[in-house]
Amino acid sequence: MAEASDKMIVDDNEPATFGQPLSNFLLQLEDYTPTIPDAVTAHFLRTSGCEAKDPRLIRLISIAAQKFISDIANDALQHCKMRSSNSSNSHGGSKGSKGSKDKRYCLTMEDLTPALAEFGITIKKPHYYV
Amino acid sequence: MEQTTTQQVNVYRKMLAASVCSILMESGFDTADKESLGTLTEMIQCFLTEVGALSKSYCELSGRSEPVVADVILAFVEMGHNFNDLMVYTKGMKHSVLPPLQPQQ
Repeated sequence: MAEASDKMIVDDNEPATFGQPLSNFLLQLEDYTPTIPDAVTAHFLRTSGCEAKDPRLIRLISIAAQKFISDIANDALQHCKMRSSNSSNSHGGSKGSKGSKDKRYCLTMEDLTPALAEFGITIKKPHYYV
Repeated sequence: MEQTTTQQVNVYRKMLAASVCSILMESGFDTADKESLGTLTEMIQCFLTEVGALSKSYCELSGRSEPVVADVILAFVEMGHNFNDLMVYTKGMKHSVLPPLQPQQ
């Protein structure tokens, strides 16, 4: 019995669990507007049968989705930058360094595929029949 | 009726695509091709739908009908995402907000 109570004390002193920061964060979401509108998130939640009444909950899910895409986009941007610097190096010379100043980055499947592969997501083009 | 529902769904899809575009602009991209934008839009839609379905499952498992934050957190865990640093993400940089819808004449 004494052993069990000791264990309880040890458990209390453990660092915060996975949900702890998120539930604290939820309290601060009252006056935050995510990029994805609340109505859009609420609609897609409703399509899967989840009727969340609390607007903070919807915002939490919106921000999570936003971060999910943002992480992928950041990874794809690194791929894009690496690929463009490699290609400019291979062409060589002053032309490449001049172009890198006002470079415009375009998201293509070529960058997105390896970025998603790092997240464990494999994307394939559907079969195309002529 | 069918027509109206399809149109509404398309509106939500468009808003989602606009949100994805906004996120991509924030990340540093200037343009995106249609194929990759479509892929990301589909992914974000799947994400939202999946979180909804899992939250509902967890909520019904506990005998409730309205999801609470614990259900959503369990849904994130089930999907294998670690969103502990979500607060850093929201505080770290200013995120753009889509303009409100203008009423159609």
